[in-house]
Amino acid sequence: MATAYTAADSIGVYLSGTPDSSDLYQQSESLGGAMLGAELLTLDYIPDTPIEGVCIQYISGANGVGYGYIRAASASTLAYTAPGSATEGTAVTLANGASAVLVDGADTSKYVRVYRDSAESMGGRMRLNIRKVYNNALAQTDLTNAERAAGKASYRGLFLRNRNSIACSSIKVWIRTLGTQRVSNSAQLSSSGAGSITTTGSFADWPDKGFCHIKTSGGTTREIVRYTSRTATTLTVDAAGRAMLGTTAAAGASDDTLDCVPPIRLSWETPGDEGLIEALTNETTEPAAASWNSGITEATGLTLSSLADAANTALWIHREIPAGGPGFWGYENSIWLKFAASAVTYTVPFTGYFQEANTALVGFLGYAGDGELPDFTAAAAATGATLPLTYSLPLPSAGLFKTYYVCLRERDQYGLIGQNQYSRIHKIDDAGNDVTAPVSDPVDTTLTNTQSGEVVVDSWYYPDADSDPADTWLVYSTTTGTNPNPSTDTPTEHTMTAGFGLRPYFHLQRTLGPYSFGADLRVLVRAMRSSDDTESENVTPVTTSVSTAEILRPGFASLLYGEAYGQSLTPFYDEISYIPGTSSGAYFRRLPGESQFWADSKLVWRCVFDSIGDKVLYIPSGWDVDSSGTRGTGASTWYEVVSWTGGDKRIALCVAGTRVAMIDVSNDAIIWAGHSAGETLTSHPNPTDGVWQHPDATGLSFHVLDASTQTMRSYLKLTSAGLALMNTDLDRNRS
Amino acid sequence: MSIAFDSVEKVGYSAFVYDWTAAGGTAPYSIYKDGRLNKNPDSLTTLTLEGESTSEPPIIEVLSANDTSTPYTVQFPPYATLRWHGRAGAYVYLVQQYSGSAWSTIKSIAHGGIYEYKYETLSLDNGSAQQWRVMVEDISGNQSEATGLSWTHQRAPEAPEHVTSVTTGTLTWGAA
Repeated sequence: MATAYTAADSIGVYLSGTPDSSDLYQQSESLGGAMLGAELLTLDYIPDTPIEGVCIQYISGANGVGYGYIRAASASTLAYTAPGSATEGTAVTLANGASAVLVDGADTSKYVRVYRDSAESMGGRMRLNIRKVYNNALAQTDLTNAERAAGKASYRGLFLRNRNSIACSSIKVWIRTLGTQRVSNSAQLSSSGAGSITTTGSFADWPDKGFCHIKTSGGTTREIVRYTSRTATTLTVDAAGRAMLGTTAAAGASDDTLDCVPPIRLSWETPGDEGLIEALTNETTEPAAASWNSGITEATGLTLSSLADAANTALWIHREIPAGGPGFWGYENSIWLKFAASAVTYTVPFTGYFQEANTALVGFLGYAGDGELPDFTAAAAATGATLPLTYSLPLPSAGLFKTYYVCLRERDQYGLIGQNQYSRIHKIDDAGNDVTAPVSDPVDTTLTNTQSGEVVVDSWYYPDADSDPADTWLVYSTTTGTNPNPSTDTPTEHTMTAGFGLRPYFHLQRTLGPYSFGADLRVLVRAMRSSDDTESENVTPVTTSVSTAEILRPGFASLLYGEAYGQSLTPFYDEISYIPGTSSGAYFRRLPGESQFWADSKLVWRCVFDSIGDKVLYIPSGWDVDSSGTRGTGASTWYEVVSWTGGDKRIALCVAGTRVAMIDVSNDAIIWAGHSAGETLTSHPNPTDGVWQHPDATGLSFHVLDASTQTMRSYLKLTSAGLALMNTDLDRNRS
Repeated sequence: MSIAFDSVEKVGYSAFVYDWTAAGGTAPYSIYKDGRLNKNPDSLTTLTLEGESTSEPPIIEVLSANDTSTPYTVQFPPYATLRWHGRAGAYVYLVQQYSGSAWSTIKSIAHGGIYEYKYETLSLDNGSAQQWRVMVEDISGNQSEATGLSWTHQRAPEAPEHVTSVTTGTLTWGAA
């Protein structure tokens, strides 16, 4: 079949409506009147790997959901394979500006109708992700919670149009069943009220909630009912769900047949003058001339002997939802259409889905698994509309422990339950105490001020100290003057990265900030095991006063004349900062790539720093660098002018109130506890005091502008013990 | 047939390993991450996925090739897909979202031919009112009228934020 409208698509199903309505072509407004040009949407699709010029016009309901494929068999022909089919249909020529029907090779009811709107050669293979449809005119709109509580009967009108050039015959429409037919041979409903229907067979392929058409063994309809829940063998029917769709409540029999059905019934209406049918004023108005049919077989459904070419007939849908429904996300309405064209019989389904809201379903479900992930197919351990939920855990035998995996899921008003599976772990003893393995505290947590107001936090965690170690860093920080509170503050999380050493460890090194100069930064670092969110219990933060907030000056400045010539200029950079209390007699002078320390017109030291070249700290050869001299108690500032008079001019350098070095200017001596070269030092520019040194609790650092990178680098750090650590070579050139 | 997991374990900043045994079924498997088809492997018993959250792994479904049912996490994913058919003369398609009393262009998709186009949104909040539209713009900047869609987005619920504790044998799920 190649030509559109000649076989399985001979009869099309169209929406109805009032042509001057603003809601024209809305599936929800198909309430009778005239036939509209919009077809009943029964399946939708997502296009993958499209083919140039190929437009999908319609997908037959017989295709079902899944991946269908349209292949360009040549530059001008296409072939179709329906979802789940292994047989590609015959290739069909599709001219530019024309429509064609592409049929699966194994089932002629499975087709897609396509249109071509490009003269470009067709090529490749188009994958259609075919999906089912909610809220089409057959399914109708979702029920709100109020509508569910009150119940609702609603109607839609559709047109069946013969689009073939010949008459179609033996037209039949009936309700499609949604599960395997069973017999109520175990228990039946009484003549009224709620009850249960039980079978020795299985309802496993029936929807979780739905509707049941009960027939006598002779095939006569006994009653249509709603079931609000089911097991594999039992349907639970509520009192309001009895006697649906024009049936009468009646006691069942053990040989009754049971069919799962949609909550609908059908009626023909033959269009009158101008092809019109009754136009309903609203969706809850019953068509006056309807003669309803609930048949679930072609023999008991609606029939029409013939439909001439270009002729229409109309089909009314009555959907009845009894009051007090359970709420469900997946009610299905479905019908069969069968007809013969050119001596070939076609049977095509039409389907749509709708939901029913029940706000009482909204809430939480708690699951607990003993020693393993919870069984989410079993009933939840605890349910409730709001938190908290509680559940009494079965305790282990005396002297033993149990590990529980616990998970919380949320449910919406349609009964959709979240599918999260990640579970937290709780280990309890025989008294029910939570003995979940603790997490050790991180150690050696420090804060280091760096450039531009940023602070580096370092911390270590040793996993071998814990039986169930942590895997995540939690960094709590405040600048409000109060300590971080793990109970209320939100930390930043960082996954632990293993270090390599004799003892396994995790090292945290993160940059915080930037912060304003002088900010009171308090940082609490904890370790956390993500499987159960157990944190270490340390509460004491490390603190620092943020003392570097300078943004680095632009680097690598250069000059060009026009756009022609670069000029070999060194960016001007020469700053002097004096040590207070020395009458401008002691100062630091900084040049690009060099820092000089002068006192009483003597050069104390001079650092030349190029990170990819020389890194040398020059101390005049006439100066003593001694570790034996007395330094004495210091000041709270990083410097202390011990004396600056006559022949006694001394400056002490201090760390945390202790003199760590003494510059004896008068005697050309530097006294510290010792020194080492080649150290890797962290940079600490300090812009606010005009001097490029940075004091903190661990030492006093001096900085220089790196000639290569134009960034600040530390060249000397005096530790609290008086050791001089150098990122330079001191001994190579004393001059 | 959805596959139940033996364990779900965090192994990286936002990476989680899903492990299962005796998966059964027929390859290729279809692995859906947050409702979106992620992989179609021929065989597997473990899977490592990166998620958006550092504390909750992405919700995944593993289906075997012969599965006929579609889990509702796939039916009701966090995102939506817009599709439209291309037009001759188009230079670019403007995908716009109505937000804050104005239309904003979320994506510009270059015209590559007259064929079927699609756009997948980012995650949308459950119950949120959505208004989107697609416009054609030609090479001169002339814009067509818009094809618009509006809907209330429905998705399967996410993992709720909460805390857990155990006191004398009573497990409590509490609000975070």
